[in-house]
Amino acid sequence: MMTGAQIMCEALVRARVRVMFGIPGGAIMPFYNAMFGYRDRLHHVLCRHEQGAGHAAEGYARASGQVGVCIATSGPGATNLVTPIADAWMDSTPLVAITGQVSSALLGSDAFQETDITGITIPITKHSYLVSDPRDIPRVFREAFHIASTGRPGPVLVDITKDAQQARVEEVEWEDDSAPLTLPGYAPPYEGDRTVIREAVRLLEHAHKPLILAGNGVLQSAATIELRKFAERARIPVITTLHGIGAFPEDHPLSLGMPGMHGWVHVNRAIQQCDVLFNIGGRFDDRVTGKASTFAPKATVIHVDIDPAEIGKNVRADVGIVGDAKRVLCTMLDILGTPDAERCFTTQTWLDQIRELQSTHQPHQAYVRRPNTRQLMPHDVYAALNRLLTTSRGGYRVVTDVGQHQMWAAQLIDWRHPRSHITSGGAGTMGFSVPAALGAAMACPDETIWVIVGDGGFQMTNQELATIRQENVRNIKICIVNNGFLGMVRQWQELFEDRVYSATTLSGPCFRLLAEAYGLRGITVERTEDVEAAFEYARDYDNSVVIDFRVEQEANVFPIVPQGKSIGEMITA
Amino acid sequence: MTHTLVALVRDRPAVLNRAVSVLRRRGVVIEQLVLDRTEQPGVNRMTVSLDTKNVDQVVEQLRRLIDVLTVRKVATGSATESNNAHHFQADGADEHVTD
Repeated sequence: MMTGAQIMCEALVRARVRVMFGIPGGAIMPFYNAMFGYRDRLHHVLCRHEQGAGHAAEGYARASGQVGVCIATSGPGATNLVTPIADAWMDSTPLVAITGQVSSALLGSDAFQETDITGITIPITKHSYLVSDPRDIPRVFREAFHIASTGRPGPVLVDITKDAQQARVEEVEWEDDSAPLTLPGYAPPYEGDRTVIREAVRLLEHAHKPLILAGNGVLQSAATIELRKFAERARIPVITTLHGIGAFPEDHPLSLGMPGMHGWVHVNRAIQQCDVLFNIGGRFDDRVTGKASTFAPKATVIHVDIDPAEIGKNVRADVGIVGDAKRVLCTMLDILGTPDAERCFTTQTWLDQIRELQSTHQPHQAYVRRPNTRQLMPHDVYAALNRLLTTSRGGYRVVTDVGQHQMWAAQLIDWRHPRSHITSGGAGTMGFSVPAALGAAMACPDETIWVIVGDGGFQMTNQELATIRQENVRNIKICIVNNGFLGMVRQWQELFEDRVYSATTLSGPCFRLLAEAYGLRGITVERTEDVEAAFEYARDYDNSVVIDFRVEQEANVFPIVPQGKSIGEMITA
Repeated sequence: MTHTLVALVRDRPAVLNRAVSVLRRRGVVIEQLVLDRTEQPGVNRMTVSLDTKNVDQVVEQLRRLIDVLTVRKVATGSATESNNAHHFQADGADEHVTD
């Protein structure tokens, strides 16, 4: 005999869940009651806001590659999860969101704290369940974890009525892990079509100016080694999207860096000049392509994606391959020959052209030239962090929020490791970083979790500092790039709206005192010469730290491609 | 241009809502929609006529839904020609799906 709530706990243990993030409330209380009996196997992290719980589960998932789990009660608890669910949907993050629901007899009656959360989340979930029969729980949980983590990963919502959690089941039917699931409409296509893959390899082998664009799919399918082997053997330069960062080491001779709105000039020019563009695991987001009709105009486009709905969605695909990045790359490596001397010459000539572009443009760009000022610049913060990471002996993750500081981080840090860069890309959710870092810290307790966040985003979810303290998480080091503005919006206002700074100036509390109030260490840095010491102190200090870097207020992120323009039209200073 | 799609779907509570949501978010107006049973238990047939420029993307996004088993385009033409499109049941619309 088990209650529905106990079956939920057992199902989570069977799904190999160890950590969950949530907040209890009326409609989910039976589950929390049962969870108390499982506290040696299921570690529950009590967050301060359900949005924080959702982002923490995302951070856990992104750092570990496992499914993140978040929990909320019905009504406002569930609606507070909508933003992280949408974020996970946009960034293909495996997430299972569990919500309590009013008892089944009350469904549809506008009962206290009733919201139709399965209805609300239909457009932003891979799938969802409304469970009112406790006997369905084992099957539903098994399916939910399977759907969230396979194919193109994504969020799955499981909404369970209170009476289903309370009801007793005489004999629970558990399916064996290896038993087939009854999901006739769900069969993710892992193996790409070999004939089409052969055609893709042939195109790349004969291209004069080939280019690889690596996206999130490479990291999701753990294909970084295969990507490296392929790029090296075919001698093709690699660019990485924001979510592809870490898929290819940036200190590799074939690495070019990031494309798109804040991508490097030489990368965007290479895209516009290449004759074959091989997109592996990216979705041609508009922040990568700019005006899509002008993107890679000379290229034959090869697009590999596990989601057939992505092929040809934003950019035409001359060769579309539906499959898993790792499997497709393995097949390509089987087919790919060894280049002869003439081939090596062709690819080297192309790489030399790009490097020449790079050397022509980079010295003249403001993002490399630090302005000659005594004022603390954002650049100083990144330069010091980059030095620290480069010489770091231990493992690290860098979690960024959304805005200028996020783009500077993508540009100015030399990314080398898979899953070392965690950010909110597609949804662009300000407030993501602090709770996501908590999740990453729970997944990677032996690593240092660096957070880079603006003063705007920090103030959206900084209540999770209390969670960090309560959980005694000691390895989170938060760097606030504090410019007193909603910086990216201000930059757009400066560049495109005649400096009308409408609603972008931002005050805040003393972040040092705020950190201390939460029981963490706080530091304020106002001078360039203090940056390095602050980082070293934070790294070595045996607790989580908040550093408030008071930087130049109106520094801009360059290059920038104005929204809706071709990536050939870049503003570089 | 009006297109008619025939989808075989599982008989789950939210399946119609999910399918229509794919159309709604694109601002697609549904001209006709019929949901009926097939001879196969647990499988329903959704026939929908709609006007969209991106019918292939709509088809792929419908296929992506977990409770949608198959989607096929069965007719393309003016609204009047497609008016009785839910009678397009030949052409394998009742193909069997292993559940």
